[in-house]
Amino acid sequence: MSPVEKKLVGDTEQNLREMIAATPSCLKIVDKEGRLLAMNPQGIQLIEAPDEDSVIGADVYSLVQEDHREHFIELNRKVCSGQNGHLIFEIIGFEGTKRWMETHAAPYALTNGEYAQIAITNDITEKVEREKEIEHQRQALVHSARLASLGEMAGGIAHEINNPLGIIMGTAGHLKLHMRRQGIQDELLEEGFDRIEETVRRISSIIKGLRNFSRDASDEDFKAVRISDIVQETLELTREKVKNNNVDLQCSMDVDAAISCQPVQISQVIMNLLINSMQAVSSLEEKWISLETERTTDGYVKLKITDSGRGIPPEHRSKIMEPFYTTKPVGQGTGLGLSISAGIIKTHNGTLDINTQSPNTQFVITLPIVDEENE
Amino acid sequence: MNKKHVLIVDDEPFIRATLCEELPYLGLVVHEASNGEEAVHVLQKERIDIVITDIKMPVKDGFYVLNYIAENKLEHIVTFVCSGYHEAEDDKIADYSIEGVMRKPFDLMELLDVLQKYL
Repeated sequence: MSPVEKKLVGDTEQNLREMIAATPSCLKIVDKEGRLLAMNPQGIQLIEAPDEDSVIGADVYSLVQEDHREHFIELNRKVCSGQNGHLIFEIIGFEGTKRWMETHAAPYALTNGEYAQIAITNDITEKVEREKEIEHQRQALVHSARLASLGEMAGGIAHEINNPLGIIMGTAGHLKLHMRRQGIQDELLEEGFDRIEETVRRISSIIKGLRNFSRDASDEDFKAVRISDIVQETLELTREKVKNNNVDLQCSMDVDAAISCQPVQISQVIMNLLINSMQAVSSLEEKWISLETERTTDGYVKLKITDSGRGIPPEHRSKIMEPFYTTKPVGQGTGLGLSISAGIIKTHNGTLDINTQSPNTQFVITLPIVDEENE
Repeated sequence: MNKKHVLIVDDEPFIRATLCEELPYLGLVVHEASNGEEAVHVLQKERIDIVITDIKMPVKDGFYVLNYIAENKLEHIVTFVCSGYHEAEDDKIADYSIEGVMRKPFDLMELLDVLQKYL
């Protein structure tokens, strides 16, 4: 051994231990049954164990997050049969912290002739989270670009449709006046013209709603708007869908409160929750959705959207607000809706929660009430 | 008392027809034009008191009419815009001296009520 090597490695076991302890990565040895044989202090820190002694012999598999466990066991088998391996997986520490890990493993011969795996593992949580965040933003951009192009189209349609609607409306009014001038009293005709006018107004408000709804609203100004107005406008857009799906929709807006908001953004969140509910109840015998508002004593308004579903299963609850998490069949959901919705509500200083106490599926949007006069 | 003259500018013949039939009952003399260019011709020939104009029209649009009124300082004319909803128009319309904006589809009775004030 050259003098340089001696200086680096030393020639005693003590020096070697110090070197392993100083390694900035987790260094561990795991036997073929998944039991921990050795681990350096970095590793002990990552798995949130008090010290090495308390975890020697412990089952490593149980620290690996459930979805990744099979892959980890597979890796261990492969390495313990004499091959190298690599894996990215998630662990849950003894104190519950989740971390993303990247491990490079190689076979390590034990004195009994069996192989264990020796592995260098690094915490890549920040990198994974950053990548997820970038992907989330990219998808949000695609989503908003899609809405923007839909908005542009809706703008064009609005003009094209409002003109003929103007003719229908104007003609109905003209005929009503003509009847009056001619002294024609006919309830059927009067009512008929009223119905025509009302239906025209409805079509017009759908178009207006579609146009408002579909434009890119991320840079919309904040203004004080009554929550009940936003809900009504959103419901107008879903009315037909609700009817076609035979869903009983109840809406009781008891609270007359204004919120400082980007109204289109809030409308998009409500729409998203309504669509989720509609998809969820479509296969149920009992199909209903209800919307209600409630004022809290500390100055917030709660909008509760409840449907006849039996709640979100506990295993999905913690994940449904994460980007790309979806339980819907391929093609029916991108898994972005709830995470984007939660993000929008957060920028409004509010929260979007699942009420686990409710016997039915209930989402609650909580937003601060503002004084309309002062806005 | 001289009757007031109103000019309806709209490329939709049925909208013009309805207004042309209805406004005389208010005591108005009605003129019509199907685009901005025709409207300016009418403004050059007749003494118009009230203009009701659409914005989006072929040949010359409603802004052509509004510009003509502004440039020639025809301040006696009461102008209304009657258009299908288009947000981009709103900012531009704000630059002109306009009495009111009506969105299509408009309520005929409301329009007549509004016009009544200018007779």
